[in-house]
Amino acid sequence: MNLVMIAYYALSAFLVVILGWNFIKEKKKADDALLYLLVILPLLLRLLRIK
Amino acid sequence: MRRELTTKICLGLAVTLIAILGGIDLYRHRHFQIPIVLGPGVTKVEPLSAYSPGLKGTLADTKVFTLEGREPGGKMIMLASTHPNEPAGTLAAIIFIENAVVDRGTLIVIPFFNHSASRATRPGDGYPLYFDIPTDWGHKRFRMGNRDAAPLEAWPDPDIYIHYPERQLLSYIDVRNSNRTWPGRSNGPLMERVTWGAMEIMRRRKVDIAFDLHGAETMFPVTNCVVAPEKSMRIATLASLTVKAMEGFENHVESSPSGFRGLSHREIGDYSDTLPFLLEAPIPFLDQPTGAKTEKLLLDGRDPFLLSLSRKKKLFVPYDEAGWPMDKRVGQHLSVMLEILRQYSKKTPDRAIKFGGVPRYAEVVKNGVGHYFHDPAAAKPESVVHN
Repeated sequence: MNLVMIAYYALSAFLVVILGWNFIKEKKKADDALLYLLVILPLLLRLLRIK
Repeated sequence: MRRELTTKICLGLAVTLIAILGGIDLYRHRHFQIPIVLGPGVTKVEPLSAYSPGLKGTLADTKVFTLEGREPGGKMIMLASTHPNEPAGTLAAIIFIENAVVDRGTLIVIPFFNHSASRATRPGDGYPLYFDIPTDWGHKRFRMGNRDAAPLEAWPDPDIYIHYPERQLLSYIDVRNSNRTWPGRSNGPLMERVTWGAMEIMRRRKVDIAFDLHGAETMFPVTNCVVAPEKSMRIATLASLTVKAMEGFENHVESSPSGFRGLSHREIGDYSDTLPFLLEAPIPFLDQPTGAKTEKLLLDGRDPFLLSLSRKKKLFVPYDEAGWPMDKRVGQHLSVMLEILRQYSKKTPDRAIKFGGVPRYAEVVKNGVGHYFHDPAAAKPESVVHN
């Protein structure tokens, strides 16, 4: 695994944490919470290396 | 608080369920195997990683079929599914594997050159995941692939793909396009390792002729043609004139541009002694202004919007109500290859390539492509290879 790949995994992990945090903090808007989930999905699959 | 939690749990479950249900079809497509019945001419099946070890264990590794003749002679390599969303080439390659009987020389066939892309799709364009070819014994099912290798194998893409070794700047996505990464390198990005493997076959086994089989839009000027560099031009021109005169179909010759790097018809010629030929058959399915991208459109090439454009003279190929069916495209590939090999064998008799069992254009159009595929259920298990 090269440095660029490691950086991309780190970036994905960072975005997963941020989106996950926003999902937890979202109190009122269910559509926003849904959007967080949809955006988090490909990043999560990439982190978990699910093909 | 409780309501909020319930909503979030429901949303999470719904998204997970949709992802799983949507993913099952894609997972099945990615792991779908196509049986190929080894014909009487096949003498060896090996992985491309035997020539490019960097491919070992990746989904870009693919099978290389060798059909060796009784007598030594010239050698030919055929690459199909360089772009797996142009599948006529793969059907032509499988006809070779299942039917060719070689008397002299060697045929090397790679039916799924960009193997990773053959297991991906283009959901944004609504591609069908499979297509079925009617045969004498039922239907034979094929994966419909994408143009570029799956990002699952080759990730992340660079911002710009810098071609090796010419350093020309190409689009980022071309790093996954196995017709932009020639001649490749052993330790480069995944598709460079694929093209490197093919270059190694050509260099080590002293291959005389290389065919790269493609399909192109009817609205694209480089369609229905043979693309050849200077060194292949004479044979390409003779073959083009002969098929027009003898078999009645147009297949003009296009010159390989020397300033556009990474393409097979340019780099194979520049980085080896092999003569490259890239064959383009029209594929209406790939044109942008068509109706839905259905299996039917892929197979019969009939589309009312293209017909309307044809009447306005906006297409680069003749087009009428008959469309541009798969049989015609596969037949064209086969006849042009056979004619190029005949011309080459005539010009260099000591490196002649002679074989039988492969049909020409008129036979494929009359009998259908499926007529030349053998039933894997009726074949001996050791004669069936899954790819």
